[in-house]
Amino acid sequence: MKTLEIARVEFGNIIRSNKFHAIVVIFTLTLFSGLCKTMEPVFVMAPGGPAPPTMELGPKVMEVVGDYIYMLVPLVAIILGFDAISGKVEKGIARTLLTQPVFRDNIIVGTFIAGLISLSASVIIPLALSLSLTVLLLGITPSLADITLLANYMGLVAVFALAYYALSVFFSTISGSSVKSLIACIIVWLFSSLILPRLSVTISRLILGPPVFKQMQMGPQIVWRIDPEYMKKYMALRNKILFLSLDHHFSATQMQLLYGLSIKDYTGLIILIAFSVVVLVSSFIIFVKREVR
Amino acid sequence: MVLPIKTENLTKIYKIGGNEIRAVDEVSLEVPKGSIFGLVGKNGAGKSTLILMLMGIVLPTKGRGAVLGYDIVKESLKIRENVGFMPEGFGFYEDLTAEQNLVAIARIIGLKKPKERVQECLKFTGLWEYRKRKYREMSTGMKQRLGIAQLLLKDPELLVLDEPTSGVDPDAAREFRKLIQELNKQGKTIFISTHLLYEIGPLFTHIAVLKNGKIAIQGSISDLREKLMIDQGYVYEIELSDLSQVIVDRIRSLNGVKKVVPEVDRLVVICSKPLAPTLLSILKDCNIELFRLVKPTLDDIFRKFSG
Repeated sequence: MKTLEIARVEFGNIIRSNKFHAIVVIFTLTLFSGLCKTMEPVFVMAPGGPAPPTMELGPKVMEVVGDYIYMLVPLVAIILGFDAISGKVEKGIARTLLTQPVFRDNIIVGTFIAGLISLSASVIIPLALSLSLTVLLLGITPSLADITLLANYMGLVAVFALAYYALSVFFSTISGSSVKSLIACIIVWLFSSLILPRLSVTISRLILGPPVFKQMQMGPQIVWRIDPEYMKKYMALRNKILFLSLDHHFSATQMQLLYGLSIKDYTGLIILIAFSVVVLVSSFIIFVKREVR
Repeated sequence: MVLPIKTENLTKIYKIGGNEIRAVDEVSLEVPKGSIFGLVGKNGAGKSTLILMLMGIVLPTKGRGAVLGYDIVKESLKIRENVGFMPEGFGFYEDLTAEQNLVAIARIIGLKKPKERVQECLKFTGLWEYRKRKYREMSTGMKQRLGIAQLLLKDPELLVLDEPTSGVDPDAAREFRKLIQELNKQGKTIFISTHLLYEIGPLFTHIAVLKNGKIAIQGSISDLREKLMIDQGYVYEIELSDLSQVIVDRIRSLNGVKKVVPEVDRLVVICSKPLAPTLLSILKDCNIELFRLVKPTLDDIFRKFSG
Protein backbone atom coordinates (compact mmCIF):
# COMPACT_ATOMS: atom_id res chain seq x y z
CA MET A 1 0.00 0.00 0.00
CA LYS A 2 2.79 2.42 0.92
CA THR A 3 4.52 1.63 -2.37
CA LEU A 4 1.33 2.44 -4.27
CA GLU A 5 0.87 5.68 -2.32
CA ILE A 6 4.42 6.69 -3.22
CA ALA A 7 3.77 5.73 -6.86
CA ARG A 8 0.60 7.81 -6.81
CA VAL A 9 2.27 10.95 -5.48
CA GLU A 10 5.25 10.47 -7.83
CA PHE A 11 2.96 10.11 -10.83
CA GLY A 12 0.96 13.16 -9.73
CA ASN A 13 4.16 15.16 -9.54
CA ILE A 14 5.39 14.01 -12.95
CA ILE A 15 2.19 14.69 -14.85
CA ARG A 16 1.96 18.18 -13.33
CA SER A 17 5.53 19.00 -14.30
CA ASN A 18 6.47 21.29 -17.17
CA LYS A 19 8.84 18.55 -18.33
CA PHE A 20 5.98 16.13 -18.94
CA HIS A 21 3.81 18.74 -20.65
CA ALA A 22 6.71 19.70 -22.93
CA ILE A 23 7.35 16.05 -23.82
CA VAL A 24 3.72 15.42 -24.76
CA VAL A 25 3.39 18.62 -26.81
CA ILE A 26 6.71 18.30 -28.66
CA PHE A 27 6.30 14.57 -29.27
CA THR A 28 2.73 14.99 -30.53
CA LEU A 29 3.66 17.85 -32.87
CA THR A 30 6.70 16.04 -34.21
CA LEU A 31 4.78 12.83 -34.82
CA PHE A 32 1.91 14.71 -36.38
CA SER A 33 4.21 16.62 -38.72
CA GLY A 34 5.78 13.28 -39.65
CA LEU A 35 2.41 11.70 -40.22
CA CYS A 36 1.45 14.56 -42.52
CA LYS A 37 3.92 13.01 -44.93
CA THR A 38 1.53 10.08 -45.31
CA MET A 39 -0.68 12.51 -47.28
CA GLU A 40 2.08 12.97 -49.82
CA PRO A 41 1.18 11.37 -53.18
CA VAL A 42 3.53 8.48 -53.91
CA PHE A 43 4.37 6.76 -57.14
CA VAL A 44 3.01 3.23 -56.87
CA MET A 45 3.56 0.76 -59.68
CA ALA A 46 0.83 -1.81 -60.00
CA PRO A 47 -0.80 -3.79 -62.75
CA GLY A 48 -3.95 -2.29 -64.18
CA GLY A 49 -7.16 -3.20 -62.35
CA PRO A 50 -10.59 -1.93 -61.44
CA ALA A 51 -9.28 0.51 -58.72
CA PRO A 52 -6.07 2.55 -58.37
CA PRO A 53 -3.42 1.07 -56.04
CA THR A 54 -3.32 2.25 -52.41
CA MET A 55 -0.93 1.65 -49.59
CA GLU A 56 -2.45 0.53 -46.30
CA LEU A 57 -2.42 3.05 -43.47
CA GLY A 58 -0.66 0.87 -40.86
CA PRO A 59 2.57 0.13 -42.77
CA LYS A 60 2.61 3.66 -44.18
CA VAL A 61 2.38 5.21 -40.71
CA MET A 62 5.04 2.89 -39.36
CA GLU A 63 7.37 3.69 -42.18
CA VAL A 64 6.98 7.43 -41.70
CA VAL A 65 6.96 7.44 -37.90
CA GLY A 66 9.73 4.89 -37.46
CA ASP A 67 12.56 7.39 -37.82
CA TYR A 68 11.01 9.83 -35.38
CA ILE A 69 10.38 7.11 -32.85
CA TYR A 70 13.92 5.83 -33.20
CA MET A 71 15.31 9.22 -32.25
CA LEU A 72 12.64 10.63 -29.92
CA VAL A 73 11.62 7.71 -27.73
CA PRO A 74 15.05 7.21 -26.13
CA LEU A 75 15.17 10.96 -25.41
CA VAL A 76 11.72 10.92 -23.81
CA ALA A 77 12.72 7.94 -21.66
CA ILE A 78 16.00 9.59 -20.67
CA ILE A 79 14.28 12.87 -19.77
CA LEU A 80 11.83 11.01 -17.55
CA GLY A 81 14.41 8.76 -15.92
CA PHE A 82 17.73 10.57 -15.55
CA ASP A 83 16.75 12.24 -12.26
CA ALA A 84 14.27 9.64 -11.01
CA ILE A 85 16.47 8.74 -8.03
CA SER A 86 19.28 11.32 -8.00
CA GLY A 87 16.75 14.17 -8.26
CA LYS A 88 14.92 12.81 -5.25
CA VAL A 89 18.16 12.72 -3.27
CA GLU A 90 19.29 16.17 -4.44
CA LYS A 91 15.96 17.82 -3.68
CA GLY A 92 15.65 16.18 -0.24
CA ILE A 93 12.47 14.26 -1.17
CA ALA A 94 14.16 10.94 -0.41
CA ARG A 95 15.03 12.21 3.08
CA THR A 96 11.48 13.41 3.71
CA LEU A 97 10.07 10.06 2.59
CA LEU A 98 12.58 8.09 4.65
CA THR A 99 11.52 9.93 7.79
CA GLN A 100 8.09 8.33 7.35
CA PRO A 101 7.40 4.72 8.26
CA VAL A 102 8.51 3.43 4.86
CA PHE A 103 11.45 1.40 3.69
CA ARG A 104 13.82 2.19 0.86
CA ASP A 105 12.30 -0.54 -1.31
CA ASN A 106 8.88 1.15 -1.04
CA ILE A 107 10.44 4.33 -2.42
CA ILE A 108 12.26 2.80 -5.37
CA VAL A 109 9.44 0.47 -6.40
CA GLY A 110 6.99 3.39 -6.15
CA THR A 111 9.33 5.42 -8.33
CA PHE A 112 9.53 2.61 -10.91
CA ILE A 113 5.75 2.21 -11.08
CA ALA A 114 5.15 5.95 -11.45
CA GLY A 115 7.94 6.22 -14.01
CA LEU A 116 6.60 3.35 -16.11
CA ILE A 117 3.06 4.71 -16.12
CA SER A 118 4.18 8.21 -17.05
CA LEU A 119 6.55 6.82 -19.66
CA SER A 120 3.74 4.83 -21.26
CA ALA A 121 1.54 7.91 -21.12
CA SER A 122 4.19 10.14 -22.66
CA VAL A 123 4.65 7.70 -25.58
CA ILE A 124 1.11 6.48 -26.10
CA ILE A 125 -0.71 9.82 -25.68
CA PRO A 126 1.27 11.58 -28.46
CA LEU A 127 1.05 8.52 -30.72
CA ALA A 128 -2.67 8.18 -30.23
CA LEU A 129 -3.28 11.93 -30.56
CA SER A 130 -1.23 12.37 -33.70
CA LEU A 131 -2.67 9.24 -35.31
CA SER A 132 -6.22 10.33 -34.55
CA LEU A 133 -5.52 13.76 -36.04
CA THR A 134 -4.03 12.23 -39.16
CA VAL A 135 -6.86 9.76 -39.62
CA LEU A 136 -9.37 12.59 -39.21
CA LEU A 137 -7.56 14.83 -41.68
CA LEU A 138 -7.10 12.06 -44.22
CA GLY A 139 -10.65 10.87 -43.81
CA ILE A 140 -9.48 7.29 -43.68
CA THR A 141 -11.16 4.58 -41.69
CA PRO A 142 -8.36 2.32 -40.49
CA SER A 143 -8.92 -1.38 -41.01
CA LEU A 144 -8.76 -3.91 -38.20
CA ALA A 145 -5.38 -5.04 -39.57
CA ASP A 146 -4.13 -1.42 -39.38
CA ILE A 147 -5.28 -1.06 -35.79
CA THR A 148 -3.72 -4.40 -34.78
CA LEU A 149 -0.46 -3.49 -36.44
CA LEU A 150 -0.34 -0.07 -34.84
CA ALA A 151 -1.25 -1.48 -31.42
CA ASN A 152 1.58 -4.00 -31.75
CA TYR A 153 3.84 -1.20 -32.80
CA MET A 154 2.89 0.91 -29.80
CA GLY A 155 3.67 -2.07 -27.56
CA LEU A 156 7.08 -2.43 -29.19
CA VAL A 157 7.75 1.29 -28.78
CA ALA A 158 6.77 1.05 -25.09
CA VAL A 159 9.28 -1.80 -24.62
CA PHE A 160 11.98 0.23 -26.37
CA ALA A 161 11.19 3.21 -24.15
CA LEU A 162 11.29 0.95 -21.09
CA ALA A 163 14.84 -0.16 -21.92
CA TYR A 164 16.09 3.43 -22.07
CA TYR A 165 14.09 4.37 -18.99
CA ALA A 166 15.64 1.47 -17.06
CA LEU A 167 19.08 2.54 -18.18
CA SER A 168 18.56 6.16 -17.13
CA VAL A 169 17.16 5.11 -13.74
CA PHE A 170 20.24 2.93 -13.29
CA PHE A 171 22.58 5.85 -13.99
CA SER A 172 20.46 8.04 -11.75
CA THR A 173 20.83 5.52 -8.92
CA ILE A 174 24.55 4.90 -9.18
CA SER A 175 25.71 8.44 -9.95
CA GLY A 176 23.82 10.30 -7.23
CA SER A 177 23.97 13.38 -9.47
CA SER A 178 21.37 14.23 -12.08
CA VAL A 179 23.86 16.06 -14.30
CA LYS A 180 26.26 13.10 -14.35
CA SER A 181 23.36 10.75 -14.93
CA LEU A 182 22.09 12.81 -17.88
CA ILE A 183 25.55 12.94 -19.47
CA ALA A 184 25.99 9.17 -19.08
CA CYS A 185 22.55 8.52 -20.62
CA ILE A 186 23.25 10.77 -23.60
CA ILE A 187 26.63 9.12 -24.20
CA VAL A 188 25.08 5.63 -24.16
CA TRP A 189 22.26 6.75 -26.43
CA LEU A 190 24.63 8.32 -28.96
CA PHE A 191 26.85 5.25 -28.84
CA SER A 192 23.92 2.89 -29.31
CA SER A 193 22.04 4.81 -31.97
CA LEU A 194 24.72 6.59 -33.96
CA ILE A 195 28.26 5.52 -33.19
CA LEU A 196 27.97 1.74 -32.95
CA PRO A 197 25.95 1.21 -36.16
CA ARG A 198 28.62 3.13 -38.09
CA LEU A 199 31.49 1.54 -36.24
CA SER A 200 30.06 -1.90 -36.91
CA VAL A 201 30.45 -1.29 -40.67
CA THR A 202 34.08 -0.33 -40.32
CA ILE A 203 34.91 -3.15 -37.93
CA SER A 204 33.22 -5.72 -40.18
CA ARG A 205 35.11 -4.42 -43.23
CA LEU A 206 38.38 -4.48 -41.32
CA ILE A 207 37.85 -8.09 -40.25
CA LEU A 208 36.44 -9.48 -43.52
CA GLY A 209 38.43 -7.35 -45.90
CA PRO A 210 37.01 -5.56 -48.95
CA PRO A 211 33.88 -7.04 -50.49
CA VAL A 212 34.32 -9.84 -53.04
CA PHE A 213 32.41 -9.34 -56.31
CA LYS A 214 31.13 -12.09 -58.52
CA GLN A 215 29.69 -12.06 -61.99
CA MET A 216 26.12 -13.23 -62.11
CA GLN A 217 23.58 -13.86 -64.80
CA MET A 218 20.46 -11.74 -64.34
CA GLY A 219 18.07 -12.47 -67.19
CA PRO A 220 19.76 -11.62 -70.43
CA GLN A 221 22.45 -9.55 -68.64
CA ILE A 222 25.60 -10.46 -66.76
CA VAL A 223 26.10 -8.21 -63.70
CA TRP A 224 28.69 -7.80 -60.96
CA ARG A 225 27.33 -8.44 -57.50
CA ILE A 226 28.86 -8.85 -54.07
CA ASP A 227 29.44 -12.48 -53.27
CA PRO A 228 26.35 -13.70 -51.32
CA GLU A 229 28.65 -15.68 -49.01
CA TYR A 230 30.59 -12.52 -48.21
CA MET A 231 27.35 -10.63 -47.57
CA LYS A 232 26.12 -13.40 -45.28
CA LYS A 233 29.33 -13.28 -43.22
CA TYR A 234 29.28 -9.49 -43.22
CA MET A 235 25.70 -9.31 -41.94
CA ALA A 236 26.34 -11.98 -39.30
CA LEU A 237 29.40 -10.14 -38.00
CA ARG A 238 27.63 -6.78 -38.02
CA ASN A 239 24.68 -8.20 -36.14
CA LYS A 240 27.04 -9.61 -33.51
CA ILE A 241 28.57 -6.18 -32.98
CA LEU A 242 25.16 -4.53 -32.96
CA PHE A 243 24.02 -6.90 -30.22
CA LEU A 244 25.28 -4.16 -27.87
CA SER A 245 22.90 -1.61 -29.34
CA LEU A 246 19.41 -1.26 -27.86
CA ASP A 247 18.35 0.66 -30.94
CA HIS A 248 19.37 -2.20 -33.20
CA HIS A 249 17.10 -4.65 -31.36
CA PHE A 250 14.24 -2.21 -31.67
CA SER A 251 14.73 -1.45 -35.34
CA ALA A 252 15.18 -5.16 -36.19
CA THR A 253 11.84 -5.96 -34.56
CA GLN A 254 10.25 -2.88 -36.11
CA MET A 255 11.37 -4.02 -39.56
CA GLN A 256 9.69 -7.36 -39.01
CA LEU A 257 6.45 -5.61 -38.13
CA LEU A 258 6.71 -3.31 -41.12
CA TYR A 259 7.53 -5.90 -43.74
CA GLY A 260 6.15 -9.05 -42.22
CA LEU A 261 3.22 -7.35 -40.42
CA SER A 262 3.88 -9.60 -37.43
CA ILE A 263 6.87 -10.47 -35.28
CA LYS A 264 8.38 -13.85 -36.17
CA ASP A 265 11.73 -13.54 -34.40
CA TYR A 266 11.27 -12.38 -30.81
CA THR A 267 15.00 -12.19 -29.98
CA GLY A 268 15.17 -8.38 -30.13
CA LEU A 269 12.03 -7.98 -28.04
CA ILE A 270 13.21 -10.51 -25.46
CA ILE A 271 16.61 -8.81 -25.24
CA LEU A 272 14.99 -5.41 -24.68
CA ILE A 273 12.70 -6.79 -21.96
CA ALA A 274 15.48 -8.82 -20.29
CA PHE A 275 17.81 -5.83 -20.37
CA SER A 276 15.16 -3.62 -18.74
CA VAL A 277 14.42 -6.15 -16.01
CA VAL A 278 18.10 -6.75 -15.16
CA VAL A 279 18.91 -3.05 -15.07
CA LEU A 280 15.86 -2.18 -12.95
CA VAL A 281 16.65 -4.99 -10.50
CA SER A 282 20.25 -3.76 -10.26
CA SER A 283 19.05 -0.23 -9.52
CA PHE A 284 16.72 -1.62 -6.87
CA ILE A 285 19.50 -3.56 -5.15
CA ILE A 286 21.94 -0.63 -5.23
CA PHE A 287 19.37 1.82 -3.83
CA VAL A 288 18.12 -0.50 -1.10
CA LYS A 289 21.61 -1.43 0.09
CA ARG A 290 22.95 2.11 0.07
CA GLU A 291 23.35 3.79 3.43
CA VAL A 292 22.31 7.37 4.09
CA ARG A 293 25.18 9.64 5.14
CA MET B 1 9.33 6.63 33.29
CA VAL B 2 10.35 6.12 29.67
CA LEU B 3 12.66 8.87 28.45
CA PRO B 4 11.84 10.23 24.99
CA ILE B 5 15.44 9.55 23.91
CA LYS B 6 18.07 7.45 25.65
CA THR B 7 21.31 6.11 24.21
CA GLU B 8 24.20 4.16 25.63
CA ASN B 9 27.64 4.26 24.02
CA LEU B 10 26.11 4.76 20.61
CA THR B 11 28.83 4.64 17.96
CA LYS B 12 28.90 4.94 14.19
CA ILE B 13 32.03 4.17 12.23
CA TYR B 14 32.11 4.78 8.48
CA LYS B 15 34.68 2.99 6.40
CA ILE B 16 35.81 5.22 3.55
CA GLY B 17 38.64 4.10 1.31
CA GLY B 18 40.19 1.84 3.94
CA ASN B 19 40.00 4.57 6.61
CA GLU B 20 37.71 4.40 9.60
CA ILE B 21 35.86 7.57 10.48
CA ARG B 22 34.17 7.67 13.87
CA ALA B 23 31.27 9.96 13.06
CA VAL B 24 29.62 9.29 16.43
CA ASP B 25 31.73 8.02 19.31
CA GLU B 26 30.32 6.38 22.45
CA VAL B 27 27.43 8.80 22.84
CA SER B 28 25.27 8.36 25.92
CA LEU B 29 22.36 10.75 25.91
CA GLU B 30 19.28 11.29 28.06
CA VAL B 31 16.55 13.63 26.85
CA PRO B 32 13.97 14.52 29.55
CA LYS B 33 10.29 14.53 28.74
CA GLY B 34 8.84 17.96 27.98
CA SER B 35 12.22 19.56 27.34
CA ILE B 36 13.50 21.56 24.39
CA PHE B 37 16.78 19.75 23.98
CA GLY B 38 19.52 21.28 21.86
CA LEU B 39 22.15 19.06 20.31
CA VAL B 40 24.82 21.59 19.49
CA GLY B 41 28.12 21.20 17.75
CA LYS B 42 30.14 22.54 14.87
CA ASN B 43 29.59 21.30 11.31
CA GLY B 44 30.82 17.74 11.00
CA ALA B 45 30.57 17.09 14.75
CA GLY B 46 28.29 14.10 14.10
CA LYS B 47 24.89 15.62 14.89
CA SER B 48 23.10 14.46 11.74
CA THR B 49 24.54 10.94 11.93
CA LEU B 50 23.42 10.68 15.54
CA ILE B 51 19.90 11.79 14.62
CA LEU B 52 19.71 9.42 11.64
CA MET B 53 20.67 6.58 14.00
CA LEU B 54 18.00 7.65 16.48
CA MET B 55 15.43 7.54 13.69
CA GLY B 56 16.58 4.09 12.61
CA ILE B 57 17.64 5.32 9.17
CA VAL B 58 21.33 4.60 9.79
CA LEU B 59 22.40 1.52 11.72
CA PRO B 60 24.80 2.01 14.64
CA THR B 61 28.15 0.21 14.59
CA LYS B 62 27.83 -0.42 18.33
CA GLY B 63 25.98 0.72 21.40
CA ARG B 64 22.24 0.97 21.80
CA GLY B 65 19.46 3.43 21.99
CA ALA B 66 15.74 3.82 22.41
CA VAL B 67 13.34 6.48 21.22
CA LEU B 68 9.99 6.63 23.02
CA GLY B 69 10.97 3.23 24.39
CA TYR B 70 11.42 1.67 20.93
CA ASP B 71 14.76 0.11 20.08
CA ILE B 72 16.49 2.08 17.32
CA VAL B 73 17.63 -1.06 15.49
CA LYS B 74 14.75 -3.49 15.95
CA GLU B 75 11.82 -1.09 16.02
CA SER B 76 12.82 1.68 13.65
CA LEU B 77 9.50 1.58 11.83
CA LYS B 78 7.65 2.14 15.12
CA ILE B 79 9.92 5.11 15.81
CA ARG B 80 9.14 6.67 12.44
CA GLU B 81 5.44 6.02 12.99
CA ASN B 82 5.47 7.91 16.29
CA VAL B 83 8.14 10.60 16.00
CA GLY B 84 7.86 13.77 13.95
CA PHE B 85 11.19 14.20 12.18
CA MET B 86 12.36 17.08 10.05
CA PRO B 87 15.71 16.14 8.51
CA GLU B 88 18.35 18.59 7.36
CA GLY B 89 17.91 19.43 3.68
CA PHE B 90 14.38 18.00 3.53
CA GLY B 91 12.33 18.60 0.41
CA PHE B 92 8.95 17.98 -1.14
CA TYR B 93 7.59 17.29 -4.61
CA GLU B 94 8.14 20.55 -6.45
CA ASP B 95 5.17 20.39 -8.81
CA LEU B 96 2.67 19.61 -6.08
CA THR B 97 1.08 22.23 -3.84
CA ALA B 98 1.66 22.47 -0.10
CA GLU B 99 -1.66 20.74 0.51
CA GLN B 100 -1.08 17.98 -2.07
CA ASN B 101 2.33 17.23 -0.58
CA LEU B 102 0.93 16.96 2.94
CA VAL B 103 -2.04 14.83 1.87
CA ALA B 104 0.36 12.49 0.08
CA ILE B 105 2.49 12.10 3.21
CA ALA B 106 -0.60 11.67 5.37
CA ARG B 107 -1.67 8.82 3.08
CA ILE B 108 1.78 7.25 3.19
CA ILE B 109 1.69 7.40 7.00
CA GLY B 110 -1.76 5.79 6.84
CA LEU B 111 -3.82 8.49 8.57
CA LYS B 112 -7.54 7.73 8.65
CA LYS B 113 -8.72 11.24 7.76
CA PRO B 114 -5.77 12.74 5.90
CA LYS B 115 -7.47 15.88 4.55
CA GLU B 116 -8.83 16.98 7.95
CA ARG B 117 -5.46 16.51 9.65
CA VAL B 118 -3.65 18.32 6.84
CA GLN B 119 -6.06 21.23 7.23
CA GLU B 120 -5.29 21.44 10.97
CA CYS B 121 -1.54 21.34 10.39
CA LEU B 122 -1.68 23.96 7.63
CA LYS B 123 -3.67 26.27 9.88
CA PHE B 124 -1.37 25.73 12.86
CA THR B 125 1.72 26.58 10.81
CA GLY B 126 0.09 29.59 9.13
CA LEU B 127 0.17 28.03 5.67
CA TRP B 128 -3.55 27.73 5.12
CA GLU B 129 -3.74 30.68 2.73
CA TYR B 130 -0.77 29.33 0.77
CA ARG B 131 -2.07 25.76 0.56
CA LYS B 132 -2.59 25.95 -3.21
CA ARG B 133 0.93 27.22 -3.87
CA LYS B 134 3.35 24.82 -5.54
CA TYR B 135 6.36 23.86 -3.45
CA ARG B 136 8.77 25.25 -6.04
CA GLU B 137 7.09 28.66 -5.73
CA MET B 138 7.29 28.85 -1.93
CA SER B 139 9.78 31.01 0.00
CA THR B 140 12.39 29.40 2.25
CA GLY B 141 10.38 30.34 5.32
CA MET B 142 7.20 28.78 3.92
CA LYS B 143 9.12 25.64 2.98
CA GLN B 144 10.38 25.40 6.53
CA ARG B 145 6.85 25.79 7.91
CA LEU B 146 5.70 23.08 5.53
CA GLY B 147 8.45 20.89 7.00
CA ILE B 148 7.01 21.51 10.45
CA ALA B 149 3.46 20.87 9.22
CA GLN B 150 4.71 17.55 7.84
CA LEU B 151 6.15 16.44 11.16
CA LEU B 152 2.97 17.41 13.00
CA LEU B 153 0.76 15.21 10.82
CA LYS B 154 1.23 12.27 13.20
CA ASP B 155 0.56 14.48 16.24
CA PRO B 156 3.77 13.14 17.78
CA GLU B 157 4.84 13.56 21.39
CA LEU B 158 8.48 13.84 20.29
CA LEU B 159 9.70 16.17 17.54
CA VAL B 160 13.19 15.82 16.11
CA LEU B 161 14.54 18.65 13.98
CA ASP B 162 17.95 18.57 12.31
CA GLU B 163 19.42 22.03 11.62
CA PRO B 164 15.95 23.57 11.21
CA THR B 165 17.03 27.19 10.80
CA SER B 166 19.94 26.87 8.42
CA GLY B 167 19.31 29.02 5.38
CA VAL B 168 16.19 30.75 6.67
CA ASP B 169 15.87 34.53 7.07
CA PRO B 170 15.56 36.20 10.51
CA ASP B 171 11.79 36.64 10.20
CA ALA B 172 11.29 32.98 9.39
CA ALA B 173 13.59 32.02 12.27
CA ARG B 174 11.49 34.16 14.63
CA GLU B 175 8.28 32.48 13.39
CA PHE B 176 9.96 29.13 13.86
CA ARG B 177 10.86 29.93 17.50
CA LYS B 178 7.23 30.89 18.18
CA LEU B 179 5.98 27.61 16.74
CA ILE B 180 8.47 25.60 18.76
CA GLN B 181 7.51 27.35 21.99
CA GLU B 182 3.84 26.76 21.30
CA LEU B 183 4.42 23.08 20.61
CA ASN B 184 6.48 22.75 23.78
CA LYS B 185 3.63 24.36 25.76
CA GLN B 186 1.40 21.56 24.44
CA GLY B 187 3.71 19.14 26.27
CA LYS B 188 5.74 17.92 23.31
CA THR B 189 9.40 17.10 23.76
CA ILE B 190 11.52 18.82 21.14
CA PHE B 191 14.99 17.67 20.11
CA ILE B 192 16.83 20.15 17.89
CA SER B 193 20.30 19.92 16.42
CA THR B 194 21.99 23.14 15.42
CA HIS B 195 25.24 24.96 15.03
CA LEU B 196 23.45 28.33 14.97
CA LEU B 197 23.06 28.97 18.69
CA TYR B 198 22.04 32.60 18.40
CA GLU B 199 18.89 31.70 16.45
CA ILE B 200 17.31 28.98 18.54
CA GLY B 201 19.65 28.65 21.50
CA PRO B 202 17.47 30.81 23.78
CA LEU B 203 14.69 28.21 23.48
CA PHE B 204 16.70 25.35 24.91
CA THR B 205 15.99 24.02 28.36
CA HIS B 206 18.69 21.35 28.00
CA ILE B 207 21.68 20.91 25.73
CA ALA B 208 24.35 18.42 24.79
CA VAL B 209 27.53 19.66 23.16
CA LEU B 210 28.90 17.28 20.55
CA LYS B 211 32.58 17.55 19.68
CA ASN B 212 34.26 15.23 17.16
CA GLY B 213 31.47 12.70 17.60
CA LYS B 214 31.69 12.68 21.40
CA ILE B 215 29.47 14.33 23.97
CA ALA B 216 31.57 17.05 25.59
CA ILE B 217 28.88 17.94 28.11
CA GLN B 218 25.14 17.63 28.62
CA GLY B 219 22.53 18.81 31.08
CA SER B 220 20.00 21.51 31.79
CA ILE B 221 20.98 25.04 30.84
CA SER B 222 20.78 26.22 34.48
CA ASP B 223 22.99 23.37 35.68
CA LEU B 224 25.54 24.04 32.94
CA ARG B 225 25.59 27.76 33.74
CA GLU B 226 26.19 26.92 37.37
CA LYS B 227 28.94 24.50 36.38
CA LEU B 228 30.62 27.10 34.21
CA MET B 229 30.37 29.69 36.99
CA ILE B 230 32.01 27.25 39.41
CA ASP B 231 34.76 26.60 36.85
CA GLN B 232 35.32 30.14 35.69
CA GLY B 233 34.03 32.17 38.61
CA TYR B 234 30.93 34.19 39.59
CA VAL B 235 31.22 37.54 37.87
CA TYR B 236 29.47 40.51 39.55
CA GLU B 237 29.13 43.71 37.64
CA ILE B 238 28.40 46.76 39.77
CA GLU B 239 27.75 50.29 38.57
CA LEU B 240 28.16 52.79 41.40
CA SER B 241 29.51 56.13 42.53
CA ASP B 242 31.52 57.04 45.63
CA LEU B 243 33.85 54.09 45.25
CA SER B 244 36.90 54.42 47.49
CA GLN B 245 40.19 52.49 47.58
CA VAL B 246 39.29 51.35 51.12
CA ILE B 247 36.18 49.60 49.86
CA VAL B 248 38.08 48.01 46.98
CA ASP B 249 40.68 46.70 49.43
CA ARG B 250 37.96 45.32 51.74
CA ILE B 251 36.40 43.43 48.83
CA ARG B 252 39.82 42.12 47.72
CA SER B 253 40.41 40.75 51.24
CA LEU B 254 37.18 38.74 51.28
CA ASN B 255 37.45 34.96 51.29
CA GLY B 256 36.37 33.68 47.84
CA VAL B 257 37.22 36.80 45.84
CA LYS B 258 39.51 35.94 42.93
CA LYS B 259 39.81 39.26 41.18
CA VAL B 260 38.59 42.83 41.51
CA VAL B 261 38.66 45.22 38.55
CA PRO B 262 37.84 48.80 39.61
CA GLU B 263 36.93 51.26 36.88
CA VAL B 264 35.40 54.73 36.90
CA ASP B 265 31.86 54.28 38.32
CA ARG B 266 32.08 50.56 37.76
CA LEU B 267 33.41 47.52 39.53
CA VAL B 268 33.81 43.95 38.34
CA VAL B 269 34.31 41.27 41.01
CA ILE B 270 35.10 37.68 40.15
CA CYS B 271 34.49 35.18 42.96
CA SER B 272 34.89 31.44 43.37
CA LYS B 273 31.53 31.22 45.21
CA PRO B 274 28.32 33.27 45.40
CA LEU B 275 29.05 36.43 47.45
CA ALA B 276 26.20 38.77 46.55
CA PRO B 277 24.93 39.47 50.13
CA THR B 278 28.45 40.13 51.46
CA LEU B 279 29.29 42.45 48.58
CA LEU B 280 26.05 44.36 48.98
CA SER B 281 26.67 44.86 52.72
CA ILE B 282 30.15 46.25 52.03
CA LEU B 283 28.84 48.52 49.30
CA LYS B 284 25.76 49.71 51.25
CA ASP B 285 27.11 53.25 51.62
CA CYS B 286 27.96 53.57 47.95
CA ASN B 287 25.35 54.80 45.55
CA ILE B 288 24.68 51.54 43.66
CA GLU B 289 22.94 51.99 40.33
CA LEU B 290 23.27 48.42 39.08
CA PHE B 291 24.27 45.17 40.73
CA ARG B 292 24.11 42.00 38.67
CA LEU B 293 25.53 38.54 38.46
CA VAL B 294 26.81 38.06 34.92
CA LYS B 295 25.53 34.64 33.90
CA PRO B 296 27.41 32.72 31.21
CA THR B 297 25.59 32.72 27.92
CA LEU B 298 24.81 29.64 25.89
CA ASP B 299 27.58 30.77 23.60
CA ASP B 300 30.02 30.76 26.55
CA ILE B 301 28.96 27.19 27.38
CA PHE B 302 29.31 26.13 23.74
CA ARG B 303 32.75 27.75 23.35
CA LYS B 304 34.02 26.29 26.60
CA PHE B 305 32.94 22.73 25.81
CA SER B 306 33.22 22.54 22.06
CA GLY B 307 36.74 23.91 22.03
